[in-house]
Amino acid sequence: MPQISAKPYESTLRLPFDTQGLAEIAYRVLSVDKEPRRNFVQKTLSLELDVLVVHFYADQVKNLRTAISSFFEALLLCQDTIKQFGNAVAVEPAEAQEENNAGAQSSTDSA
Amino acid sequence: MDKEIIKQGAEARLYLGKYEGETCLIKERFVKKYRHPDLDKQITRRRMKAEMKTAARCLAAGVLVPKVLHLDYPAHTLYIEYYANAKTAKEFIQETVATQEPGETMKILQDLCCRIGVIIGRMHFDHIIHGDLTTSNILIDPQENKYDIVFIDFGLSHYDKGAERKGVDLYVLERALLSTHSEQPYLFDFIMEGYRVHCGAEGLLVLAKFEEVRARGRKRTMIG
Amino acid sequence: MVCSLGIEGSANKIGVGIIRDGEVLANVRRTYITPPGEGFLPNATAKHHREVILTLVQESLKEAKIKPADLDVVCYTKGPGMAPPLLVGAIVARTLALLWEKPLMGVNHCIGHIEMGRHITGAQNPIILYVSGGNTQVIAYSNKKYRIFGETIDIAVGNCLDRFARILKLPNDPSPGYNIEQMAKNGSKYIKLPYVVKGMDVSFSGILSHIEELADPTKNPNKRKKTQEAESPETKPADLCFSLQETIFAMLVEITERAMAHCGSNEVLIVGGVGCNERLQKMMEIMCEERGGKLFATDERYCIDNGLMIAHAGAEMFKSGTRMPFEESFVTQRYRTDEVLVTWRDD
Repeated sequence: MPQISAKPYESTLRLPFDTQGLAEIAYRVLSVDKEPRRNFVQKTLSLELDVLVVHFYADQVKNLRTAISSFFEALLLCQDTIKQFGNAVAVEPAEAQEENNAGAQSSTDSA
Repeated sequence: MDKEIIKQGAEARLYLGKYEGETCLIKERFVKKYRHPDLDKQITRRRMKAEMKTAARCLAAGVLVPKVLHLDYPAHTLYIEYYANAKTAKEFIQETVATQEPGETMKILQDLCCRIGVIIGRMHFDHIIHGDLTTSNILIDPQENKYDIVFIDFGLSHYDKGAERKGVDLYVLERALLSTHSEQPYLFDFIMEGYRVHCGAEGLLVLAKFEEVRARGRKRTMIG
Repeated sequence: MVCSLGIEGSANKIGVGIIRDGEVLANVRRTYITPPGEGFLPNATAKHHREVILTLVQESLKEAKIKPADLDVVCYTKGPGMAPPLLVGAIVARTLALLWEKPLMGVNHCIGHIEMGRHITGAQNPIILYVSGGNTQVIAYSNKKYRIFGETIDIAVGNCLDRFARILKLPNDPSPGYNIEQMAKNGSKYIKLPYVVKGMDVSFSGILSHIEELADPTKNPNKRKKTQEAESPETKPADLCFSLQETIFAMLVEITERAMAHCGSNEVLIVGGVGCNERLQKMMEIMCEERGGKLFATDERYCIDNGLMIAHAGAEMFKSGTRMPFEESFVTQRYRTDEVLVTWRDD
């Protein structure tokens, strides 16, 4: 883990997904890649039901910006993949229906 | 002339023959049809010349090598002193591993490698770069209760005072050992022990260069 | 039955392939082409890949006529390569694997080339010459590893060709190397260039700077006068391309032959993007004929980076029982060929 000064620059992103299942997929996909060591940025991901919460700490504003913008690129790609292929389960309509319902349910709960 | 073929290599045929009545090795480089004729001539000529020049330099430096008896450019043939009883260091190492106890193997190989290292250090001290250091290009010539170490195949050799080329020479050797003797990963360290003994201040520069060349290899990103 | 989808995006190509039990079902690809004289930069390449990758996945499924449910494994290139474009493939592969509930497999790019070449040509245990924009290696299999016998000690052969093409401002479409190859066909005069073989290793950087000066004498003002005197006024680019190919390919054939002699092998397989150069194939073939050996080579569909090779190598890994924990699905810029344990070969 990089050393961050006592007064870090911070940023928190809260990213809601259609369902808790999809939020979990995004959480797992985006948790794999660590920040490059010389970036001096710490990134932590967590899940609050259907909301993906990402927290950044950085020693410099510039590094914070770099980390966030590359995170957004990965996030958008993951989201687009979900959009295009997430309903591929539509081949088995019953299952897809169920999953959507479950997702809708949990997001209501969290709201 | 009756010639007995003893080895067909990648770029030359080796025969046993006679030169001025003495048994000798005849090394005939063949034309490589895949190369442009101009390039082929240039390479063959340069390598024959390197073999002759470096052999003379090594002898002057006290490094044992086969003498070049005669050079026939038009026939791309070299007549070289023949070591009838010698085997390659590669064979020697493999036989030692196969026949000796592990402890004894280590002792024998450490002794061999250390001596090899000393000789390479000696060559580098005189700015002789072998260019193709492998255990196939080092001969073990048995004597009573001991053996001589003879370096051969100077086709890729050159004369260079800089540390870079010498560092690359060591790097090529390390890589060759890793692929040929992957089960004996300690050989190169033993050789370096010997190399350090007489290399002096300039040798330390070479070792630094060697580490640099090695690091370059590891750092290469290999994209695509 | 193993049905595998593979995504490759380690350099300027992005490709998706699908293979089922060795049968090629789909192999689609796009290339990020930069203006003449320019190379591809990591972030711009990643942007290109992001824009087309999902379309390619759709195309491959359509061409293969399969549903995601028919797949057994989703594969992606783990490395080596440029991190930003590699990451594009990895993120899509991870997301698809979770959405479709399939195992995920990270594949070494070089291993992908080797296994694809063996599969397409049927070569059993060849000496492999792997030549591309980022790699120049002579490889032989032994004891569960693809071992590197010879390699470049500085830049890759494809990088040397690409950079010279940029000096001449040759187009990058379809690839700089292809345009050098075409131009070389009009050359005939052999211009002497450095020829650098060290043991089984080669070096190209000295050749590149030498030929750069020949092509553009203003590059080195100190040598300008001398070069102009030494070279006839009409040093044609075609002759330079011709001479460059003749020299560097001769070096590659030479170290391949050394490895054959060293290992007692009679087969050669050429893989990687430079491997579809017909002059290189011809020279290698002549060498093989002289030794009574055999050359195996493939065309641009399989030689140039593609998703199919990742699908195929991943399928071989999967069949032999290799599994990758999802958390380990990162990418790595450096990933040597000899780091991979070859679980799918028993010879």
